[in-house]
Amino acid sequence: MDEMEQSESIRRSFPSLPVRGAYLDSAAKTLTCLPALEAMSDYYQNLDANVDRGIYIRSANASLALEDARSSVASMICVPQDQLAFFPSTTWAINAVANGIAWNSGDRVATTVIEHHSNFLPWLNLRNRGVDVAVVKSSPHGYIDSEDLARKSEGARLVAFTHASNALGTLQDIQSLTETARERGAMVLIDGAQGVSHENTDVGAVGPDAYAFSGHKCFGPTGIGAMYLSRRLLDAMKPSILGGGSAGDSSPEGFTLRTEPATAVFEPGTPNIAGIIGFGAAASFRLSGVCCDAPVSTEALSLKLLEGLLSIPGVEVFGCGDTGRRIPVASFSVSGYSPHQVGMLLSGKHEIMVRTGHHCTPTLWKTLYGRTEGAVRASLHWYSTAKDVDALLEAVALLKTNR
Amino acid sequence: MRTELVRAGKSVSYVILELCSYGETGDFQVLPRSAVSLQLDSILAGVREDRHQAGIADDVLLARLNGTSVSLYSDGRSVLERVAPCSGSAAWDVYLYLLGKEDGREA
Repeated sequence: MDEMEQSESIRRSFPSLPVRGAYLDSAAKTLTCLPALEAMSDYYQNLDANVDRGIYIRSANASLALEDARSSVASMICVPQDQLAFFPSTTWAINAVANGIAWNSGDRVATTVIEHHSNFLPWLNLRNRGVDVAVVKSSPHGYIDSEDLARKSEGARLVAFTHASNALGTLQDIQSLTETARERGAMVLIDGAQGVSHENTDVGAVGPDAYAFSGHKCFGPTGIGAMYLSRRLLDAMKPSILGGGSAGDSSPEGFTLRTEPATAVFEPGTPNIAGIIGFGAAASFRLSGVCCDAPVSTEALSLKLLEGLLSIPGVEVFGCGDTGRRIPVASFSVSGYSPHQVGMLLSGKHEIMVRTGHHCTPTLWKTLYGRTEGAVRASLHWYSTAKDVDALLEAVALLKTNR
Repeated sequence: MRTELVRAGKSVSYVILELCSYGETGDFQVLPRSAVSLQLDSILAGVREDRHQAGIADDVLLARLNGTSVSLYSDGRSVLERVAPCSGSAAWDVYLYLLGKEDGREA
């Protein structure tokens, strides 16, 4: 297969790929793959029934499709399906843990300075309940400081950190960080929103107590996420949202929580059935190895992007001064322009789609770079091409020339 | 809950869904993932031999096994009501009992 045929093969899998310009915002949302679109459409066109308590074949088939999706999503991260719960997003999943544990005044939690607000604010908020929340440092280029994490894990009930920085693209050594925290008796929660999209991760082998991620970061739909939960965390958590499917029994005197399957109490009400089915199809697609059809590996493209940006005078690239592993994300600034101005100019004239601002990580920008305005972020995925990267580099170079 | 069963050299996976829970007991649905064909007459005879109330109406086997009400379709789907204790594995045990009646007849 030549490069053009490979590009066409990928393009067929992502019907929303823009015909003109370049989509470079995959860290915010990957494009939705065709199998996910087809699976969701099939659900609405052919099943379109609620799950679980319908005693008719259509409902039974909807239930089976949902459980198949659970199996596919669990397989993607190598965990048992009965320990995978669906949530509306990574954010909702992390909040379910933060709000579901019976914290005692004086308990300790640790998070890190590079976290997305989703894995930062829920923990900071626990200070209102008397919890001591420690913030672990990172290297100047965005890798979590393992020694500081070890210190702050001492006596902690839970340590939360990201698999990969959404702002800088730095991929963390989650195996080592997990071992460090667990050796000190802490439970571990990993925000996998960015990491799971690019890394084949055996979460079962890494051994955290929770691993949260979202469908829209790995070719699935928005509005659906999932979280692996260890047995000990399931035992320690109570649901903060209750409704249909939550109770073992109820009466005017009170209720008991459902106990089986253990994740069911965290999925109250009618689930996002189509979203889950689409997520499952995207997970199967993700596992199918279709990335092998990509004309150029995202790693090679990422390198080209970083090197290209670094070669443009007046461009500062953040988070790439280290030799650690990365996902294909490049955050940069262009002197004389604010990040939002750069984004607008790239979008208007060149139809290049990037994300701008602090990327929900203002603490990272302030702490590591003394910046409040964040940066311009270009992020790639399997469907990205060398042409996309060249278009961005040429457009950024032009900005400098015209200033 | 999911489980696998090998019968007559063929492996079939099943999903057991909790329908409603009443504390000590619960209602469950058992769904085979691939085509199954059950001889309801054989199962009916076996269940009756164990002195349980049972009959077939509209191609559905209806039975009362102690406190549990059973509806079993020839395609393998089943609704098991008031299973005690309220657990998927207890429901699966009831289902296996029913299949065992067919196996016993076949043997």
